Amino acid sequence: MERLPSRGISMILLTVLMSAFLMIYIGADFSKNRIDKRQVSDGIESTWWEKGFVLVCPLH
Amino acid sequence: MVVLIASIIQMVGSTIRNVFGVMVDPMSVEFGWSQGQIGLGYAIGALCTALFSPIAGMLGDLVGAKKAMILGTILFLIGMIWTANVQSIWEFYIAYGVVLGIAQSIYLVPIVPAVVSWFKRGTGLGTGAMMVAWSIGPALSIQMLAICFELFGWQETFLIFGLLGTLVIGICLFFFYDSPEAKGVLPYGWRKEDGDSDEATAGWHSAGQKLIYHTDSFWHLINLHFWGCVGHSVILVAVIPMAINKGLTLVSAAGILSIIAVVSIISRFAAPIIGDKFGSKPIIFLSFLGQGLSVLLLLNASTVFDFYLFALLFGLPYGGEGTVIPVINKQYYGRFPMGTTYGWQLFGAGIGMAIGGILPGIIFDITSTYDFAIWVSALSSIWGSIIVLMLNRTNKMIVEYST
Repeated sequence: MERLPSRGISMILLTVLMSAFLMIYIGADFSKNRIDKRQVSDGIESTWWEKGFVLVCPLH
Repeated sequence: MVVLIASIIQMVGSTIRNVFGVMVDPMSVEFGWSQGQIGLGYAIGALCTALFSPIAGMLGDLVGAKKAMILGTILFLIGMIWTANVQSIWEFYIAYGVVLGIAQSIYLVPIVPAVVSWFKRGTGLGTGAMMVAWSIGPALSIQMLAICFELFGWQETFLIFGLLGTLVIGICLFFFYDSPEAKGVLPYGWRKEDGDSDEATAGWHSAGQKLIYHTDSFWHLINLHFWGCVGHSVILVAVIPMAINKGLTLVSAAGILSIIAVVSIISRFAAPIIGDKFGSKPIIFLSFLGQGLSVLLLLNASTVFDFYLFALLFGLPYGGEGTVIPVINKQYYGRFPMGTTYGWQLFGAGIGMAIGGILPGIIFDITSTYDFAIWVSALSSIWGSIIVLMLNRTNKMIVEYST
């Protein structure tokens, strides 16, 4: 039976996880920044995607 | 001859994306679309090219590069004529984004492995020459496009380039053969001791492709393409606003990209030749590491000299980073049809380019500085260089085909 390329596939999975983490972190930072700015100026409510990013990110 | 034909085809294929920068303003004026709406068309096109790359590669392997490119040319003609006649933004997204995006992937993917299959030895020289034409081509075509836009307007330019491009590619394909075997000649660099049988003569077979999928290096090469492209696309997108932000004029800032373009031509040509002669792994490793480390110079760059020095040091590794890939594929997998494998590698590259292109703007909006984007770029390339170390050695093939 052929060997699975476990090292190659696990490195790809690591890439996917790192990219997802980076996207969530930056997305949440971006959203929080927009929400904070709006609260200071005119108090408009957050959009669904801004709330989503902040909710999903454990660091925000 | 085969390298020349491939270069012309790739030049026409790359025109699809080069035309974009020139057409934004005229389209915006005529239809009242915002730059963001038109920019989405570019993003859809880039994504379609990336997603369709593995399929384009498989198509090349199954029916041959020539037949695949006939299909690509039909899509190119339809896409160009349709884009010239669009009336709504959705039509633009389908014609320019989807149809031309797919056409571009068919132009970019199957041709490179087909050219590589023509070489028994000297793959590096053939690949290097093709990659140089690939970078000089856009520089020439963008000027021609700009002149045509001025003289005829954007719709007529699309029609002219669509018809002219189809004609040129049609003529090229008439003289093009998928492999030396298809023409009944021996590959370049063939010697008597090689015998007359070769792994490529068996053509593409799923069992051989499965063997390639079962190597770690297949996955590493997709992965490092992704990281390398994140690393340089951040810089290619952000370096001009970054320089202007530090007080450089637009003309001086544009000089950074010009230096990168010129310097990278040297390494685009030299890297495949060096990789072919001395092994591809060290040259890919040095290119990734050089790309990552040189980017850190931007953290303290503030004068024209600082930015131009960066461009010089970044341009060399950037040019050599991706152009060795067809050579390393050959070293690992021999003359087995490489379209599917190369298509997956360009899939990784395309996704990396898309993510790296979006990041700097968002990061600047949050932090009001490009420092974090610079670190993302540097660490992506350095991480890529670590993945290169996990690749197999290139002194012998890593699969044994039983058929």
